This record gives sequence, C-alpha cells and structure tokens, in this order.
Amino acid sequence: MATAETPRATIDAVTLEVLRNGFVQICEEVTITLLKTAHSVIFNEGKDLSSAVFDRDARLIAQDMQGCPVHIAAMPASVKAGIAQYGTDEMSPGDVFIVNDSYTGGTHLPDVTVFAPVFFEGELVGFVGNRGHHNDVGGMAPGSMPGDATEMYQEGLILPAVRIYEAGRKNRDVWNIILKNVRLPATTEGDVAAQTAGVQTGVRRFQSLFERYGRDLVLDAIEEINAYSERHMRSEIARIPDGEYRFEDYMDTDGATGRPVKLVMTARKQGTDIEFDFTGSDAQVPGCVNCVETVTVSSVHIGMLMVTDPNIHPSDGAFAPISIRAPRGSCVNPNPPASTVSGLTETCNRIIDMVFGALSPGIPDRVAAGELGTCNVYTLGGSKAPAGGYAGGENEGGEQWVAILNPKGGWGGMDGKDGWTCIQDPLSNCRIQPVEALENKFPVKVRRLELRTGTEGAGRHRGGFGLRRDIEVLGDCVLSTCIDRSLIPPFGLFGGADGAPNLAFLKRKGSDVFEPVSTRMSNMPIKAGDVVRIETAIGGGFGDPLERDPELVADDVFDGYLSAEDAAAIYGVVLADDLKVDEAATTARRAALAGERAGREQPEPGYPRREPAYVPATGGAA
Amino acid sequence: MALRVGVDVGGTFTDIFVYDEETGRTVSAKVPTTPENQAIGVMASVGAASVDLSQVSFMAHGTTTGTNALIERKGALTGLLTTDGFRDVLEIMRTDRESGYDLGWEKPRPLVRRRYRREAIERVDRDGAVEQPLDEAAARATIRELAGMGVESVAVSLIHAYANPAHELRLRELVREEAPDVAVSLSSDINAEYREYERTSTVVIDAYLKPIIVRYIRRLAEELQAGGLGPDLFFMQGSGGMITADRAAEKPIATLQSGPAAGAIAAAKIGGQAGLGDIVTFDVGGTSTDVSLIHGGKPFVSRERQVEWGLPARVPMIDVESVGAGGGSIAWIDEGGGLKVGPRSSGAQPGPICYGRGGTEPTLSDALLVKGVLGADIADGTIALDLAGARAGIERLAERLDLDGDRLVEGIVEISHQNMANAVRSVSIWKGLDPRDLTLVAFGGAGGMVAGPVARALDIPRVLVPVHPGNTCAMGLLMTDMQEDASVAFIATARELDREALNARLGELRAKVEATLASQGVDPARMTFGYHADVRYHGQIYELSVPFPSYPVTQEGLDATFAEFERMYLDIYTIKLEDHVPEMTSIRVTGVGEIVKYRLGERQGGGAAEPTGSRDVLEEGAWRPVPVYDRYALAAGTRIEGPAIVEEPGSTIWVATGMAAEIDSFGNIVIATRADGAGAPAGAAAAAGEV
Repeated sequence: MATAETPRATIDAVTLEVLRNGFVQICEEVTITLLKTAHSVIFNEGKDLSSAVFDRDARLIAQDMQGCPVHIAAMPASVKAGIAQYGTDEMSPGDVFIVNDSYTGGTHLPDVTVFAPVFFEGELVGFVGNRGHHNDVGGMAPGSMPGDATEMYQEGLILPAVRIYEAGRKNRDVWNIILKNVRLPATTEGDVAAQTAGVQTGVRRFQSLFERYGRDLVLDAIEEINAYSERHMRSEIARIPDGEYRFEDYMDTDGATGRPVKLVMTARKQGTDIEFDFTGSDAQVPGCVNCVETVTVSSVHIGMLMVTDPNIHPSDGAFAPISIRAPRGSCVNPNPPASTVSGLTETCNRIIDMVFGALSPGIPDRVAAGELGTCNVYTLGGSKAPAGGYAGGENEGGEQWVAILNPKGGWGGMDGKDGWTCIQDPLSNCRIQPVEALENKFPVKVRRLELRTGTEGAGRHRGGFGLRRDIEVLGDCVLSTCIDRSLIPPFGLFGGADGAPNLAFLKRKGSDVFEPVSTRMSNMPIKAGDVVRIETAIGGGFGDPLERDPELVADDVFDGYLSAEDAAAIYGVVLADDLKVDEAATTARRAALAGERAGREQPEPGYPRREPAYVPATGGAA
Repeated sequence: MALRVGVDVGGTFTDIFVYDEETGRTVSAKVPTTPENQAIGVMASVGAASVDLSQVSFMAHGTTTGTNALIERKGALTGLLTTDGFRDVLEIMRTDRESGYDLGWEKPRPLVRRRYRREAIERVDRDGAVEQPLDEAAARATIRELAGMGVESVAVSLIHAYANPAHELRLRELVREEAPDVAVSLSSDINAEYREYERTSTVVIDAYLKPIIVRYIRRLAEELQAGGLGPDLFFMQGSGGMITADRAAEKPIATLQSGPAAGAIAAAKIGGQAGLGDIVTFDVGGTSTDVSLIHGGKPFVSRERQVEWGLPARVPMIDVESVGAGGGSIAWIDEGGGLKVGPRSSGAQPGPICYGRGGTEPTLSDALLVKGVLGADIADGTIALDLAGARAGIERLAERLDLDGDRLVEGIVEISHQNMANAVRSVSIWKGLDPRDLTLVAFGGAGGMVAGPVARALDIPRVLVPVHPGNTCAMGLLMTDMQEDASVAFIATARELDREALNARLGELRAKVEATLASQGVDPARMTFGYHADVRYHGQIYELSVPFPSYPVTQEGLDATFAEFERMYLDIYTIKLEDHVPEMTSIRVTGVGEIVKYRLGERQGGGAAEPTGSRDVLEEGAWRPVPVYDRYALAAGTRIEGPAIVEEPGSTIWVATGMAAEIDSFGNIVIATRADGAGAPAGAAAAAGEV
C-alpha cells in the first residue's frame, strides 16, 4: 500500500481530472452505443448492463456509474481470464472476446462479458469491456436461472474467454456454437452484436485519448487515477473506528436440500486498512447459492462503496486498502462445478448487507438495515399459439416466449430516513417492466401492482415497502423461481424490527385462495387462468419504533400504510379521529410500552437473530 | 400596431426582444426575474424596452412557472384516479435508483400522496376491449370524497387507456358533474401511449400544474391588458411551437422547457439564414449548459423527457440536454485530493467571487476573469468585477493543490470545457451525428467565452455567435409557428399491420389537431400536417420517429416508411439487423399553423477592424497582450485573427490563438476553430478549408 502517498511528478491535479473524466466518458459512450442497439427487454428496458475500461494488466480504470454495480466489480476478472488463456502476446487489434464462465471471470452464466484489447501504435495499452444479463443462455430452464441447479452444467452454455472476432474477422465457428445452445438465438445474436458495437466504440475512444495526450502521459495518468482513488478510499476508511466487527447472516436454503447456509463475516479495521474474513462460513453446498470468489470480493467492494463517499472514483486503487479472506471450498469460494446461479443474485446481496450490519456499530450514520436481499427472479415461459393468439391449450410449433421478472422491494431504514420503497437490490440497478409492456409482449394479464405494506420493519426509521404483483397467465406455461430472504427476513438494526420476507403464491383457476409456492424451483407447470402472486420484502427497521416522529406515524396512517391500531400498538402513537396526533396520550402510551417491554423477554422470532458484535481496538494494538 | 414582442423568463433574468415590423428596428433588454410572481418581471421588461403595449401586434411568452412549481413541489393539491389494483404505480416508479452506490440518495416523493390516489372499478384490455365496465356509482362517491379533501385538480390514468379512452372520458364527465370546480387531466388526452408509469407521471404533472398556470395566465393577461395590450398572449411550448394562452391553460405541461426550446428554435433559424448545415446549440448560463442538435434545419424532438430524475413527462419537447457546468460552477477539492469543477454552483446568490456579493469559492467566471478573457467591468461598465478577489480565491485553492496559480486558472477552464464537450459528445452519439460535420451556435451569458475551445476539442470546425447572444431565447419566441401534436399507441409489427386501422387512427389524430388549431384562430389555409410513426425493431425499446410519405397511407407508403426506418437505423447505429422485424409502437400527427416570423436583417459591409483596446490574456502558460474589439463597430465581412476578444454589452467572445473570426452579413460572428492549423492536431488545415 505504499505508492499512494506521492503523486507522480508529471501528473498534476488538472491533468488527473481531465484524463479521469476522459475515461469515464469512454464508458458512457460504450453504454450509449450498447443501449441503442440492444435487443432484449432485460438489456434495454431493464438496463442490466455495465461498461468499463481497464489498463493493460486488466486493472479497472473507470466504469459507467449508472451501470449494474456487481457487473463492474467482477469484470476485471473476465479480462484477466482472457489474458490467462491467451497471453497478451497472442492478442491482435480487432480481436473481440466473449466470456461467461463463472469460475474464470464470470459471475453467473447469463451475465455475458464482451471485451477487446486496445492497441496504440502496435502496443497493447488496455481493454474495453461490457457485461449484460442475457435473456437466455440455454441450460435446464428458460431464462437460465434454474434455482434448483446442483452443478453449473445445468445452468447453460459455458464459455471460457473465446474470440468472437479474430483480428476483425467474425469467428463463425464460435457464433454457431453459441446460437445453437440458446433458446432465443435472434435476441442473443442482436445483444452480442450490440455489446460488440459498444466495445468497438470504446476502443476507438481509448485510442484517441492516446493520440491526443501521448502514450507516456496517459499511462502515468492511469497510475495516478489509481493512486487518487486509493487516497480517497483510505481517507474514508480512516473514519471507521479501529477494531474487530463481526456479523452472521444466512441464506434461507442451499437450493437443494433446504438447509439454511450460514455466512460469517469478521471485519478487522486498523488505520486506513480493512480486512474482511469469511472464516467460519459454511462449506460449499450442493445447491446453487455458492458464490464464486470474484463475486464475494466484488460484493464487499460494493458494500464499502456504499458506506463511504459516493464520489470515490471506483478504479482498482479504491480497493487496494480492502483485503478479503474467503476460505477455498467454502460457500463464498467454491470449487467447480458447484452451481453458482444464486451466488450472484442472492449471496452477493447478503454479503453487501453484512458489510452494513458488521460496520453498523462503528459508523451507524453510514449504514442501512437489511434490504430485500434478493434479485427476486422468477420466470414464466412457454409457447405462443402459432396464429399469434394467446389462447391456452396446445401450442405446438408456436414461438417460444420467456418472461424474466425481477420485481424489487424495500430497503432497510437508515439513520436519517426511512428505507427506500420498491428499489433494486444493491447489486443491480434495473428497471421494472411496465404492466402494459408485459401484456403487449407476453400472454399474461397483470391483475394487480401495488405496494405491499405491513407492520414489519418498524423502527425510528422504518423499512421501505415491497410490492405485490398478481400475474394471470393466458396460456399453459411453466413457472420457475429463484428467490431468497423468503424465510429469514431482512434484519433490523439498533432496536428496529426485522422486515418481511419475499413470498410467492399461486392461485389456481377457479380458486379464491393464493397458496404459497416454493421460492426456489424450476418448471412448475401452470395452466391458463392461474394467477402468480409475488410479494417482495419490507426492509428492516432502524432504531426504536417508540422514537419515531409521531407526525410521520400519523402520515403513515393517513396514507393507509399502517392502521391506527398498529400505530398505537407498535409505535405508541395515539391518533384522534381526525388523524391528528394526541400528544398527551402518545406520551403516556409510549411510556407504558417501554415499561412493558422492560418487564419481559423478547419473543424468539422462529429464525436466527442477527446482531452485530464489535470489539474496539485497545491501546492502538491491532 | 406593428411591434412583435418576445419575453422569456429564465432563472436569473427575464429577457425581452422587440421587433418593429414596419421599421425593422429591434430592441432587447434584461431585467431580474421575479420568482414569486413572474408577471412582475415581465411587466418590468416591457418597461425596460420602452414598449408601448397598445402598439403590440403579437406577444409571445416563455415561462418557467410550471417548471418551478414542479421542482419546488408547489403545485396544486392533486388527486389521481387509476384502475383498481394500480394506485401505487406512481410510487413504485421504475424501481431503479439514481446512483448505484449512494445510500444518501432520496427516492423522489410522488406528486400525489397515497391518500389522494384512488381506484376506479374498471378494466380495459391491451386491444381496447372492455373486460370490466366502469362502476360509475363508486366513481362518483370517490370523486366527491377527493373534492371534500380539498383536491383542486384530478389526473385520470387507467391501464391501457391509450387503446380505448372511453372510461377516462366518462370519468371526466363524472368529475365535472360531481365537482365542477376541480380541474381534470386525462392520460389518453395528454399522452395516449403505452407504459403506465410514464403515462401516469405525465398526466399527473399536467394536473399538478393546471391550477397554478391558470392563475398565472389570468394575472399576467390582466396586467398586460391594463397596460393596453390588444391581442391575445401566446405561449411557447417545449415542442418549439406556439399556443394561445387559453390552450396553455388547458394543457399546461406543454409549457415545460419552453425557454430552452426557444433557444434551439432561434439557433435553428439563425443557422438556416446563415446557410449552415447541422448545428449543435450551446447555451451557457450561470449553473448549466444546455445542448441540443439541429439536423436538416429542425431540432430533434424527444417524446419523453425527465423533468427531474424519475419524473418523466411524455409530451413532445425539443431535445435539450443540460449539464451542470456554467459560469457559476465551483472549483473544489474532494476528499481524495482531486480537483473538480461543478456541478456545485454558486448560483445567482452569492455568485462568483468576482461579483463581490459574498462568494468565497472560485468559479469558472472567476477563472475567465483572471485569465483575462472576461473584462474587469461588465454591463457597459456599470458593474465592476473584483479581479483581485478572484485571483486571491484561486491562489488559495492552488496552494492546497500544490499548483501554480496560473496553471489552476487554465485548469478550471479546461475541465469546464471538457465537461461541456462531453455533454455535446454524448448527445451527438445518441443522435448518430458526427461532431466534425456540425456548427456550434453559442449563446447565453458565457457561451462566447468558451465555445471556441469546446468546439475545437470536439473537432467542430465552426462556431457562430448570434447578435445579442444574451437574448437569443427571447428572439426565438418570434421565430416559430403555432403547433399542436397528438399521438396514440399503435403497436403492430410490419408483418401484421392493419393499414385500415392505421389510417383510421391517423384520421382521428388529424381531426383532433385540426380542431385544436382552429379553436386557436388558425386559418385552415395556413395549416400543414406531418404524420409520423415511432418504429423500432421488435424487442427493442428505443424507437425512431419515421415520417409517413403521405396520408392516407398507401401500401407503397407503408413499405416506404419501414424502408426509411431501416435506412435511418443503419445511418444512426451503423449496424444492419438481418431477420429482424420492424415494429410500430405509436403514431403521431403534428399540425403547424403558419404565422409571421422574425428574420435577421442584412448588415452593411465595409470598414476595417480597429481594436478599442488591449488586455493581457493567459493562454497555454504564457501571458500576452490581446486586442479587444467592440462587436457592433465591426462591419460585415470583417475578419479577425485570434487571439482576440470581441466585446458587446452583456457578452464577451473569445477568439483563441489559431482561430479566426468573421462577421457575416447578418452580424453573426463566425469563428473558424482552426484558422491556420497552429496548435491544432493533424487535419486542422483541412477543417479550416471549410470556412
């Protein structure tokens, strides 16, 4: 960690900012090009994609800040995989690589990375890449997110880093293999072409930076960008009190046997360095919640970016002060061919949450209570009637359709505000598909899209609300789910209540009852007229509900988020008939509730409690 | 009765531009904006320009009343009626967050709180079939309840209302019957296109603004009439066309972004008269820079725009992108020791250090003053700028960065240039235009000081600074026609499109547009209509607006439309998609009612350029004396080699070393950004040849 302190002589603050800005702009232009040409709805409507530029050693220089966080943090590993496979000597101008292998640079198989080397005057000087979540990459389930997979071969086509363009010439052999192994080849082809167009734009812009400022200056600036990010991150880490922080949390299930999976995080903070140690976490599991090491590392990085200054330029240097220990063979660093489908969508979120939970005693004003903790992916798929109609029954020969749905939910309360309502989980930043878009594209009818409110997540700042969406299918199809935090809800902090879990239900045609269905399964047959209901999580509460501003409680009652009875029972806020706060009655009620609470044990919730543990450093010793 | 008057209200100043149709004389003036009631500033501008209102034949107005009410959340108490099961769409939004990592972010609060969002029992299918009829009795009770809560305005947005507006239309009747004082806006009227969040947000914005705009228009009209104004007042729309005050009161959302639209219109018209090709407009103000593109003489019009993050308004608006870089952008040091310029701004108060109103942090304006580009007194010598204060502020910052003061001065300017240039680049990439083919038309208070270097950084060969660049938006108000737009979702792939249905929907739209124009006094003989479709490849979400060659649409016309789409697609995205089916998503009709417009007058040539003075300017690390010219003493045809400064009241134009400026026959200053190749990368000589 030595180089950070002294800026290189040639790069002053002006040049640094100009070049840093230049690299950020390249990422933006890669994303614009990609978005303009992308085909699948999840790509362009969902914006589940990201762009980044790297130096010649595959270190991150800059990324598109609107992109999907987890994509970026893990992307350098993709480029490194390409370097490991071919060596930079074997790369040529015009090469374009594709990779999705979870164990060599990928995250989970549907996330496909395309990258290309950048040459300037015959020398390889860097890389440009982007990553997007594809609608389908083959495997046992439409959408390639089989929540019950037990080995990666079931998930879909595995691509180590291979060339789709070789020195500018399309490598048809590789394309043919890819397109034969996916369910929606036209979409896949369009999306990979869009990713390629984006990368090519970035390569040209990268080269023009070198033309404009000269090789040596740009290479020095890349070093200084990293040093600058590192200085910034260190100044933020310095605010966290020294000591040892510990937090335990769980995945509901390993995805195969139904047993919960325990994760243990110990954070050791000393000066401007911090280490995250996962020793004590469960061994790798038969199901798919295993989280490959690159994703574990990027999850910690995302967590750290969230609890520090949001303006830290997230280049490689920002992560130099952060070290991570993930024991080999554990669920946070498994050996192949363990399935990792949910490592990215679920375990990653849990690790980010655990960074908040662990550090909460040290920096309570910078963290949030637990959030929805899942990508909430569920998939509907089947065949459309050949005539273009959507009626159920036999649709043999009809066009295949796959609807990947990932409705989002509530975040945990924070020091200064309630948790966000209906917002993407931390690892992603997509957009919900509109009701009218779904109905125009798929044989479904959305019967309800509303907030899921409740008393869970009560706190001085309560958890944000989830949503409830009922989708009726108009033809026979199959339902797959890949959802966690459906048994053990998001955690509260500092006396705030735990939130509410993510749930899935099915109402059979003709029935009035929504029956719970498994949140982790593949290909459950459902019939025309059945209704699939999803209820997304309510975030955890932050602080004691009895300290919540009574006016905010009154507002919640007025807006129908909370009943007047619950306002009195949980928040100790008594409202008059006109919904104004009765201050005297509220004071008395709160005192009584506090007294009652002191007099008895808190009931056990029926799932493991999660409490942070913090041991301050003593006398400057580590 | 021959005065044509444009008054544009901006954040800091209210600008007026007056044109006498008989004498050809023009007058412009600036007065401070009066945010609480913009009518006061409008009346003051009329006084400042010595306009006799009884002599006015046409008066056009651009207001930020709507935008301000939205941003400050000071709109009307608004209710929302939606389909049963969907009242929370407005609060769920699209579930993304503004920044990937920022826990400090606040999700925007909906304009309508949940207590005022109510559901109607009804359901229409995606093809317009009624699955569940409207429960009118329940709806009446709901409306009465909302009115009883004090709601002043109601937005109606039902699922799939674009496919069949019957239930929305009926709900409007019910509101009028049950609560006649409550204003109503319908989603199927304002924006009959699909995607429910965007449509609902649009109609809610309209309803939220309606009572505010109605009150403003009434107040302003009364004051103008009392001052002697005879004809109706006209309003600029964000689309770049005019509507009457009555129509603006019906559809207030149309007035959003009218100021920037007027600027783009002016740039397009000025560029057209000057014989320029495609244009990028560049309006540099105190806190931001507005950028838009003009292609084939016309501004790009966006069909959806975020009024602020997460708050889309889906009505036609000229596509003006704003970046947080302007004269007031502050230079600061972040926690990592990095130098940043903007988006923090000193705003109108306290303003830059050099304004001497208590600002302590150096801004772009301070750097331009110390650099020598900006003179030490502005506004005809009435305001003296504090050069010593600005220099001291920059020195303080330079010390903390371990930089030489001069280096920081140039650094602040360079980083600002880059922020502005990146905005132009992103916009032109989205539109598929190559900067090397563009002319940058610069206006706003600071436009002329930065435009040349920004254009050069983008390989833009030419900059044009119009006369009175501080009043360009007000001038633009007099350069456009009446306009009405109507659109409706029409979702069909090229393979299965029903042409009869298409023509029927286009006919309905045309009739609606024609009737609305006629109701605003437009003579049918002066109306022209344009027919467009939004087309994309099936599966994509970004559509291109493609014209139908004629109406009614023939089979050949339809084929030509899809062929044109494929050509445009290849043009913009440089990728040809084999085996992909084009798909129409919406169709729209634009009606234009022609009115008299202001055109730039020709100026006389002759006369030599004599500097009025000289001052020292810092450029690439060296100070040297640079001649200063009085703009309006320069005759048409005059050519000035950079480095040079051209001054006029309220504006300064910087012609950097290696550039050359020429006065064209309309008085515009046209700067060749690479006059002689000096200091410019290879290719400069070729670029200079174009001028």
